[in-house]
Amino acid sequence: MNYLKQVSLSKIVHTVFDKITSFFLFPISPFPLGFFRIGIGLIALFLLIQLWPYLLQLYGNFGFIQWAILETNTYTWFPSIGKLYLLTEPIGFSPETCVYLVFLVYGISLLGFILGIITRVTAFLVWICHLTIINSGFMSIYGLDTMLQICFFYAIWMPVGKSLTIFHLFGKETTQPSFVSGLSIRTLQLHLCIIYLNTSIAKMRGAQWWDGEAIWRALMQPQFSTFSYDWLSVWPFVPKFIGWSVLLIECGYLVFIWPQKTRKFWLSSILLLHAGIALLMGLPLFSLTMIVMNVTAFGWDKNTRFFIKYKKVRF
Amino acid sequence: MIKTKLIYVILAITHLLLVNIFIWTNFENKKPSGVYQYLRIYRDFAGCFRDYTYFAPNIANDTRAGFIAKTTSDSVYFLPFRAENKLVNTRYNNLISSGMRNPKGRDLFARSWATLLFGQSDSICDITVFTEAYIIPTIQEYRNGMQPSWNMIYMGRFEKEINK
Repeated sequence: MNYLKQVSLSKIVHTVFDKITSFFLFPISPFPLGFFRIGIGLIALFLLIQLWPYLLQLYGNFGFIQWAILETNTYTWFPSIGKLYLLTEPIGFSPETCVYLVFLVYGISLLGFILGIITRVTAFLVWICHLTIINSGFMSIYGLDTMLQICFFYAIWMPVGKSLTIFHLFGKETTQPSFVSGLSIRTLQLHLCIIYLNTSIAKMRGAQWWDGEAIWRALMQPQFSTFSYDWLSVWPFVPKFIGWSVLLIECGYLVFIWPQKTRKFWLSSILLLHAGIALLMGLPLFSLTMIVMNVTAFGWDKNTRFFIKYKKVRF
Repeated sequence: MIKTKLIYVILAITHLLLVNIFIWTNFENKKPSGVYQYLRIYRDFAGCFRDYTYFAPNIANDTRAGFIAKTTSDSVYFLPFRAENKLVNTRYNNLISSGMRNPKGRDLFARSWATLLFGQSDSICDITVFTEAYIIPTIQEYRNGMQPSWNMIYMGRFEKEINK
């Protein structure tokens, strides 16, 4: 009897183990990860170009937040531009030089990262520079910086340099499917589910998301509003409907993004949601980052064809 | 090969479990000692230093700031805390709202902003920093005629200190 119990127990353990490993380990082409690398790299590079004229104001020793204030809030071991200055001061570096040095290394690494040149090294440099930058200006960071940091961290470990690199132009690319690519995609998929579950539960706790006031307030704010939305007060069911839709899309993501039957609809919905945030609230880079993450994780089928395909409409 | 694969899977699962711990538990308030110290390092390196509760549970008021600068020749002019670039403006807005979040720290951050302006122009001798919050009425209140308005939440005056 005991022997039978042991056999059935070991069978269950083996089945569970097999299910878990087959869920995580499936060979897939690294092509989506190449798309991921180029996507987040271009977003970060564009952001850097936009911020360049304002670097000293945002990150300088005598910028809007002086280093003396910033350094009291951070851990002593955490990299920051202020600490780099302390290290390089004996060899004659000025605070301004340190600011530009960090951003220059960041920019050059980003270029290498986008092109796929020694990707692990450039990914590590991009990650450490970005960590230094957000720690040196943590009072001005927002969702975009958090998402980029997550992406750069993943880029160090994932095989993002196995596809769509500059070497592909010279025929040196090998895009063989690998289980590491599959595991990477799975990790990204699960992380996205955690993100949407976390944000949807937080939204559900607020009354504003149920009665439409959240949408009303978001669109009426001067910093976000790109158009006039006064008309929403005439039809209050519109913001209410949008608020409920956001809750449904984000909360349902965890469940409906997995089955093949609902994936196309749910992915399209979440992409539309982020496109809406970009267009209506003026947060294009944050939305683009989320779009890149979503397309990388769920936008490709097992043959690495883009998942969302629409049939041609004939008139 | 199977062992390598297994190690990769275990690492991925451990990472995702840690992400869950960082965002769902009261990890931020744990004393950073012992194992928590190392977990905190990992959390920050992995970009999980904040949860993902954007625009939740409620939408906060928009804020704006500005400076009234007085020069040594007694002329007065106004400088908005704004940039023409929208992406930079988003960062300025975050600076203002995080600086003004804690009433105890408001003076410190306002002084920091004023210092930048003192450093940029020798002729400025006095700066008044003010911050306003944009109060939006509810949909019903708006329909009843109430309009959004900027309400002052902070004002501080700083004079340039000259070391003799």
